[in-house]
Amino acid sequence: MTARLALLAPLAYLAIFFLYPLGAIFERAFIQGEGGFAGFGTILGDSYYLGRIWFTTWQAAASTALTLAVGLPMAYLFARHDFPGKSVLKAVSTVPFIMPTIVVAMGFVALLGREGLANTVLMAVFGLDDPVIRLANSIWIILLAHAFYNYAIFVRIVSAFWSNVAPQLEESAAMLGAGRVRTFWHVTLPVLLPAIASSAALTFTFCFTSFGVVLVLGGPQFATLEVAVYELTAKLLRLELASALAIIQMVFTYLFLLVYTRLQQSTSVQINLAPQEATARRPKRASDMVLVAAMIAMLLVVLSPLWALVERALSTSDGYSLRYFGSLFENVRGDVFYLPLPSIISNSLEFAVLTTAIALTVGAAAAYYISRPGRRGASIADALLMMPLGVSAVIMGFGFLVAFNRDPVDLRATSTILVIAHTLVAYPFVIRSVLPAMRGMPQQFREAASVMGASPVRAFYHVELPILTPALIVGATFAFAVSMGEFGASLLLVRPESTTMPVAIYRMIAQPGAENLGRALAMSTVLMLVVAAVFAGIERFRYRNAGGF
Amino acid sequence: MALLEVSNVTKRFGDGFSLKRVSLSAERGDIVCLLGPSGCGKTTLLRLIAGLESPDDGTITFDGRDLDRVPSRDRGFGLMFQDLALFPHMDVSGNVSFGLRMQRRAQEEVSARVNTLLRLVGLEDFRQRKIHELSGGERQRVALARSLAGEPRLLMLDEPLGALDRALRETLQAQVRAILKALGQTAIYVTHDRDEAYAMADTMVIMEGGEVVQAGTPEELYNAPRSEMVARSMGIRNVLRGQRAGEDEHATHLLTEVGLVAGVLQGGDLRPAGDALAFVDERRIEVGARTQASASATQRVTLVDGTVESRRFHSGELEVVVRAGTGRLTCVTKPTDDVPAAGDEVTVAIPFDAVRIVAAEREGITSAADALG
Repeated sequence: MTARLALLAPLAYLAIFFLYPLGAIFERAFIQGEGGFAGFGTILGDSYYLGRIWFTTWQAAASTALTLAVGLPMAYLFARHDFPGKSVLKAVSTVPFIMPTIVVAMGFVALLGREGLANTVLMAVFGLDDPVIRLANSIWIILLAHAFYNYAIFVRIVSAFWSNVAPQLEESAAMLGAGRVRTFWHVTLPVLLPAIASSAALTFTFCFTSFGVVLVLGGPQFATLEVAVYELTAKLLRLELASALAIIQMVFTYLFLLVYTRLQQSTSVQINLAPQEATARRPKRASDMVLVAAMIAMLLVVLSPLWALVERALSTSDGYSLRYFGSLFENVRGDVFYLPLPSIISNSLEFAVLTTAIALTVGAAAAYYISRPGRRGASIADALLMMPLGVSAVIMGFGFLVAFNRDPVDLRATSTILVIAHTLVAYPFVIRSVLPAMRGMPQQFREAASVMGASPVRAFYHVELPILTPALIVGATFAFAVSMGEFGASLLLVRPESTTMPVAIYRMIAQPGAENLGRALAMSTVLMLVVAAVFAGIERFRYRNAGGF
Repeated sequence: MALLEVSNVTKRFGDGFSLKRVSLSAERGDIVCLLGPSGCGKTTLLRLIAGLESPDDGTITFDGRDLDRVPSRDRGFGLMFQDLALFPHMDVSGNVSFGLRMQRRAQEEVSARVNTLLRLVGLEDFRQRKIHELSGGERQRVALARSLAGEPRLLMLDEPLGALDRALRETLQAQVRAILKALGQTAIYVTHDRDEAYAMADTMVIMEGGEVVQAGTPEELYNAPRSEMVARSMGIRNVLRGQRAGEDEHATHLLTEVGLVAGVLQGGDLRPAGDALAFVDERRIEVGARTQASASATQRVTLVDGTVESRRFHSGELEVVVRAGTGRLTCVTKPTDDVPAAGDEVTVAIPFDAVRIVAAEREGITSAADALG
């Protein structure tokens, strides 16, 4: 009974703030468009939009392949080896995934752009007059940024699975006469395949709906569907075409997510699982040490966009200084909509805190319902509540614009709309973080507490809540990071006085000139540090309380 | 009236019965063992008594009071779960003191009681240990201390030693019984392990398929099992099923699957040609080379011809399984040179007084036959 009540809030949220705007998009596309399906006709008959569909697909495939190539060796290292500093290295390697897309994009501008760190160094070292790296506005910089952004989640999923696969599987293959290569090919790889495939499907979906990275790094000839929807909405004001294109993109995304869900289910089939400590070994042979050294070097390279970002933000026309940072506090261009840095940061923090609170409530309530054993509706509710994950943020923002633009719910003029949109993006992450902990909670804990005289409320407070706390913190962290970095929906929904950090950064680089780029880099650095600080604090908190379960 | 009375309790899950009109009672200070195969309803019965489930029918009373509307937290019972359910986020003393804190006892009292209990289970230096730092046996003892902490009026233990290896289990059985007896604790102990039940029980309750099959002291059940299932549960290996074929002044004769066997009828009536069970003491039958001996009647021995099926050495003795007629007899004997080997044709000598005969409940037909008189 209480579990049903718990489901009410998430479902109401989903219905009002997701399904209703989605309906509005469908209404635009099918009813308001000239001649019913006209929007679809225009798009499917236009070689530009067909080209966008094709480009979006193959860049996602190429990005996924690159992610795999970087992630697989690293997953092996984390799964099968134990070495000093492993936990630090592991934490550092996940940094890209928690970074806002706009920070990642700016990091690549700072590293590989025309005036980027790499070119500056190369020109200085070899005495060249022209930049050698010409990746700016090329497909390569997009692929690299996607790999950078996604390898962390790939490594997390695959190495977690890998470390639970008992080495005895490989050892018995060796006993049966298989060499190292054949053991990997015939035993290890097939066992890992579901984990690899499911994380690849997830990576593919993320790259397919990529927005910030493509918008900042790509330039007009590299627009993905997501960028095309944004341009149709914000620049060309062709809402019926945007709606049709959004629906096409949604169909693709849900297909990919379906594949992901199927594959993920097969990873939960336990294959001779062993505790993690038992499967890792300390590096003994020289080749292992080389491997570790190579991995550390690789991490330095992999994280290079982030330190390039800091370096470029500090490097001004008159040497290293904090000038760009200082200028964030001044209205340099005499802009009417200018907001000083503290206001922008406080906007972002305010939205993030509100988003975290709502997403945690909605997500935890949903997870509570889904985790109760023997609920027939649980998997349906799960799938339904995960739907926002399959709709890109730009389309969601677009849906809000067309749905909440009239009475009774005209939210365009409020900043509440941003919190609502951020929550919609964030709460699926909360569900996914909290659900395993709730599912893993033995019913006996509550019963044991009850037999010992605890009321249901006290049993929850003293037993279940403390055990769930680490998972709730992880969920809250995700919600916070998502809100801090949210770009696609914000770009469409933000009002001048409610500008967030990612939107402010984009507005700055949209203006020409080294000065504006410098300020954008400085602002990106600030955003990166804020997010990193939150995560660092939470990691410490987690380690102190994680105990051993 | 006994301290705990369970009367005609029925519980259904889904389509099937989990418990069918189960009754049992426990006297103050007794350890009652529920023994039966997994899935027979033992755990369900415990959960009903604990108040974690409510019965569909029947009553449970404690100390003369009906527990029907009493929630589990107000029953004042203790329950040691099969997988212990120790709280992973608390240390040993946090777990042991949990119930006392829920009862809002004074801080000094809680602390003193935790010390007493940890001393009782031999873990006084483990107060600050985390649960994951304990060995299996230590966890078991923490769980026992925790379930005893609130001075439960009734303690229930659900296969508490199930996950441990044999040697540790045997040590802990003795310790647990000693602790419970020292406290005069009334307890219900669930197990599927016969040796454990023998080690723990004042009273045994044998369950099968959601029903209580027979209850009594271990001696009573061993000496007079009412069914083959009970006999096997009590560890009797030679159970023969047969019909009464006649009797003389020394013995009752039974036609069984190994042939005609003579034995002593235990109490009760046995109708002519009525169904009966014969329990043959495996240590008192002898296996020898095939003989034509005819002295059986005077020596009060039944002779059965058969073939040795297997011979195995176990704990200083030989176990010889002989196939006779359509049945089998197991003999346990000192290992000597003349013990026959597998495949040998043998004669088994069964003394009359090594065979106990009881009237059998013929499943399903008993009541109809009774009705017909």
